[in-house]
Amino acid sequence: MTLKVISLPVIIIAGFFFPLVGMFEAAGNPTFSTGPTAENALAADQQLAMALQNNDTLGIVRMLDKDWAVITSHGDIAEGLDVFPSGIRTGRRMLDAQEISEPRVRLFGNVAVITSKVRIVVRGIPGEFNERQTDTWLWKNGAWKCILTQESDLKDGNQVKSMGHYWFAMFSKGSNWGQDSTTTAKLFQEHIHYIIGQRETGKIITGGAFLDKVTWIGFEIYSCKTSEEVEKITKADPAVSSKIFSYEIHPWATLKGEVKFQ
Amino acid sequence: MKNQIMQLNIARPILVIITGFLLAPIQMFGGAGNEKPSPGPTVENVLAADQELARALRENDTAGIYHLLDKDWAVISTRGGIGEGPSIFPDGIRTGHLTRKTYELSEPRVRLFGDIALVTTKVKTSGMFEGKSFDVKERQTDTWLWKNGAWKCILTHESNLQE
Repeated sequence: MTLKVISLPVIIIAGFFFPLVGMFEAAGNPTFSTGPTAENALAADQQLAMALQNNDTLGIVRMLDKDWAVITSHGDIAEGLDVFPSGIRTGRRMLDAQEISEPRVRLFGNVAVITSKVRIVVRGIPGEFNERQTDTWLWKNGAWKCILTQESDLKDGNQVKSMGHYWFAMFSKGSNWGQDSTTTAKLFQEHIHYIIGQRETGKIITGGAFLDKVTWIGFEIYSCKTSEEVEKITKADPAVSSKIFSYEIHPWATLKGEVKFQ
Repeated sequence: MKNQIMQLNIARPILVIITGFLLAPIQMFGGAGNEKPSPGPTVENVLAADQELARALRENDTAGIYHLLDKDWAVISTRGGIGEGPSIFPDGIRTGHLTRKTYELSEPRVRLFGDIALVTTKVKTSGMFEGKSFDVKERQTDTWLWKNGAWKCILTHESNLQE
């Protein structure tokens, strides 16, 4: 009889407690019924950013794996769940803003790698910090846990200098060069129209004629993926197909953005 | 008939020797790339892959670099730039824009999560980039994916190391 009387208050009290537990789960590191996806990994990354922005120590800890570490933009390694929370508690790392943008998300089974641009405003420090950050996430017991964060200062430019691959087509006098001036003049006009058409498609990006015409008549720079494509376009040039021009093709590389074509 | 058997008996050692000569270079070349370590993904073989990538970078070995990088590989530079594609370093080397003189790894921190491994190291590297010499220290994380029995690097994130 006593047990029956007690059991009702227990159920009522438990009823108050369990929704609270559920709320903390929802506010911290939520579980996903769908399994690991790029979408829920990105959601976890945004939730961690939000917890950092709100100086929410509990929220931060919930999103991190116990083996988590951060590589700072100065190259230091700090390990353990309490790195950011201890900074918040002591007032050294209170944020007014942490916003992520331009995410690059890659999912490999139960691991997700998210690289994003991060804007940070630290309380009491004028200005803002911009970083490129990679968070690596591990899918564990139905939720994402961050296992590593690496930061780099974001300075000039968003792209690492990389090479652009192009092709040079060098034109010289063909076997029919100068045989019939009227026909040659007509084929020259057709050649120019053909090149203009190819430039409009973006396959040829620039070129021109050598005025001395000693060895080379002119050249064109192609932006094509394969030499076969360059050959095909070049062979279809009226000046080439009529053997007014012969040609050589050479692959060419230069730093992207170094040469600007109009 | 007896003559044929004799010929076969003589031919067999020659065949074995020739096969030995042919197979030896295959073994040698196989050992130089990221060939398949037999026991599956381990901390030891991912660290070996990371060191092999460091060797390829140090020796400006374009084929070796390319071989160890996944086709979706990207690098985050110390200045926060993103470069994508395994040909970034090989292209720079082939065109003379990048030549390394040194590339040394130390203090590795390795974490293995199934088919994914994170290798964080201190990097000291020097060389020439676009005609200017450099000598820098970085903290770098290479993220590796175990794929078809070998490690492929899927991301390199570099942070400037200020000591």
